[in-house]
Amino acid sequence: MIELHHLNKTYQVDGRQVTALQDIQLQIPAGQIFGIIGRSGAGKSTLLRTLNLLERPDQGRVLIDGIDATALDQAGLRTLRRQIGMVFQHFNLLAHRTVAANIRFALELAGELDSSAMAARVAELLALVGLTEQAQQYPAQLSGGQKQRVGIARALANQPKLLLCDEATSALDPQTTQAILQLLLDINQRLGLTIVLITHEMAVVRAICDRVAVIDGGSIVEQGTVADVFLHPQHAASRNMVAEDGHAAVLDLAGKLHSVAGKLLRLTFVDAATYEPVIAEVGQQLASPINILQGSVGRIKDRPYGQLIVGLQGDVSAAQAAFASRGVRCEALAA
Amino acid sequence: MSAPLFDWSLIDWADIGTATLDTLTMLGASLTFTVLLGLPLGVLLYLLGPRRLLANQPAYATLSFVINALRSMPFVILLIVLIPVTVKLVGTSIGVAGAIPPLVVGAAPFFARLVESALREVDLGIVEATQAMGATTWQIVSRALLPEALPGLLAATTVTAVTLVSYTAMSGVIGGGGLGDLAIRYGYQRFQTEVMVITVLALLAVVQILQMAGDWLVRRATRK
Repeated sequence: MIELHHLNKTYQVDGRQVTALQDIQLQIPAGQIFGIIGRSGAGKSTLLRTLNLLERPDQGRVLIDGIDATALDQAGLRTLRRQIGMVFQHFNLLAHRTVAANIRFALELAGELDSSAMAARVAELLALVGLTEQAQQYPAQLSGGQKQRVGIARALANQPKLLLCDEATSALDPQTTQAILQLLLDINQRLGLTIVLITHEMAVVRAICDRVAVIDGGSIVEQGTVADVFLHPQHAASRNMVAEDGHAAVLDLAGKLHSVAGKLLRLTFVDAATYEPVIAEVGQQLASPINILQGSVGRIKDRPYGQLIVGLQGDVSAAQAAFASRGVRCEALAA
Repeated sequence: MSAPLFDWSLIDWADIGTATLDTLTMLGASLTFTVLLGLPLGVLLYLLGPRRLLANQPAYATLSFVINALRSMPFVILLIVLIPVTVKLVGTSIGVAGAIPPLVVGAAPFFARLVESALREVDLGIVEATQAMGATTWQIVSRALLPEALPGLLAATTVTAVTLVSYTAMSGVIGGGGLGDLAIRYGYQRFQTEVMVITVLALLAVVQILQMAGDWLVRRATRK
């Protein structure tokens, strides 16, 4: 469990004060995959780095399992950092070391294992990330996805309870991104460790996160379960992130649907409701046709969802009641 | 029939041999001490620099100024200015031994700057990743920065070695001997062009071999 209390951080840039973090309040439950999403410059990278004190906040406290990281001395901080793995956008592997030696590097720095125990641990990690064959290659000989697997294996070497991912898939192609995200999900489920990742892509959050916080201008503007934030974004910054993803029916329809008679409703289906013929049933019950104008269906992590914008001629409140009784959220949109 | 352009019989090959050996002795000893002194100095310069691990503006500025001051001193002047120091260190201010301290003082600041820039070539992300693994500053320097910068450090050592060869030529001023000294005293001052040609060729060979060896080491160390 990670708790951030009233974190503030400002930088001096060319004599000007730039606010990087503003009164950040965040709780990250243990064992979850927690996403922090925001545009570049929103402060997400700074926020992630306060968790292992690579960035020291000007004010506020960082509690990791009840230990205030900001109060630790240098030795205490190094011990804490060994329990926190970190994965980077540009991998940050040592070019002069082989794949196996890069993973062993984390073990050497910790200095807790003898050389045969290190070799065994490295072999175990290579198998976990699927790089046993590449053990003796150098980073320059690997593809981006393979490099990131080395980065992940290295981050896991000292059996951390927390893994920080700094745009871990942003330098990878879409296919490799999916494979790395699956690996992270797999690690989260098999090892039960907490993952905090930052990204600018809603697709990453939708694929593997349990909860998400949206950061904008150095502040957390919205947080909640991924389903809530993705399907019902409240803040303009969240709506923009969702709209860019192009997988939710939240687009602004004003001016595009003026020719449609009747009221516009947005229907949101999650889990079991996605398998029922809800639209047809409600249409029959109200004896009025329902016109599907726009929509999307997909998955949020492993939960199926659907979101439709429909036109309805007839009683909106009766329709809302009918949908609600079938477990479908129904919102009237201003046409 | 006109006289041949060069009369090689004038050359005392034993002199050339001694001079070559002197040059190599001065080079070997001064390069060793230059690296021993310049490497820590370069690391310190890097660490104190802006946004680095031990960033300290006043300390960086001071160290930087001292290094610049030493580097701006012409080597011939340094040879003379350092005579009292040289006597203290090696007991004499003349000969091959007397040339080594000024050579080191002349080359170490230069080498330190090259070390600083080689370290700056290492991606800051690697420093950050090592830090995130809970490394001490010493571990970051010894386990990540220096090994990652090894090709750059070897190239810096090669450039410094070549520079030292040309510095040794000036050691004749204090009776240091060596190929450069021979070239000046016989080739230039006594108009023995043959000696000039041979010493220049010998210097060329030394520099060429140094550069080739250096390039080979850099290639071997490079994993990019």
